Amino acid sequence: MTTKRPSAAESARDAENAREATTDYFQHELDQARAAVRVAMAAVETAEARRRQVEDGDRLSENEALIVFGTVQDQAVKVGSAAIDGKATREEYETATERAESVRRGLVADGYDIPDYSHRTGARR
Amino acid sequence: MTTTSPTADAVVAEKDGAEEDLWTARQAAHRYLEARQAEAETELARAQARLAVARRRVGEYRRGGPLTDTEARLVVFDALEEAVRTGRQDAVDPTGDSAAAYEAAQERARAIVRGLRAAGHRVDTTDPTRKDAP
Repeated sequence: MTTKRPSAAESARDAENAREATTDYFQHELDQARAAVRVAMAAVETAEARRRQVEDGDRLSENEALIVFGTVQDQAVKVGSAAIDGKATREEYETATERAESVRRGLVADGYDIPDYSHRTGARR
Repeated sequence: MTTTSPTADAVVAEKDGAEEDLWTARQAAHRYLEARQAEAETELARAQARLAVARRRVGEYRRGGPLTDTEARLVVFDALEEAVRTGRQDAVDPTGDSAAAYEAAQERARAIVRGLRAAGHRVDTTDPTRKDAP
């Protein structure tokens, strides 16, 4: 089977299409990378401003308070899993669950509505 | 009737415990907000690194530097995506214009593949993960 050899004009057209497409590709990459930096900068500014606001006495939102509790509770669950695998002691697990409970009690005392998930961590068993 | 009042020590211990809980919760909140900021800063550093690479590659290309085969393939995939987009448009709402746009996008993708291959790039339009792609 033979394929038709492209003419010089066809080859030039193909090369021009490839060049244009390559330029578009690089421009698109550049635009996307710039947009990602803008988004990431805004996220840093928001996170920093929020940290400062709370440091200066602003209350956490209910969602933030839930995330704070969820974070310490996840740590307790991780220590629990490690204890099952023999990579942490029972004492470490109890310390982690007590810490999670302390955070929960503190948040509740501060007026946040934090559910008691002690059945998940086994803190009350 | 007599009432039992807690001892002074018990009251102090309870108060200390409650204050400790508040302090622990505030410390946890502080750590969460710091971690959230650190995560955002890490993401920013990643985005800035990606931008630096994009800028460097655009500069090199504009000065006549070569494309890598991966970049050449991505150029082809962008063209194929456009062909798929116009093809879908034609399938959903066929008009003379949509058929012509689909045909033009396909022809452009073919021309780009030919042009890149003529420039010596290994581009494959069937399977981007194939190790023996031509």
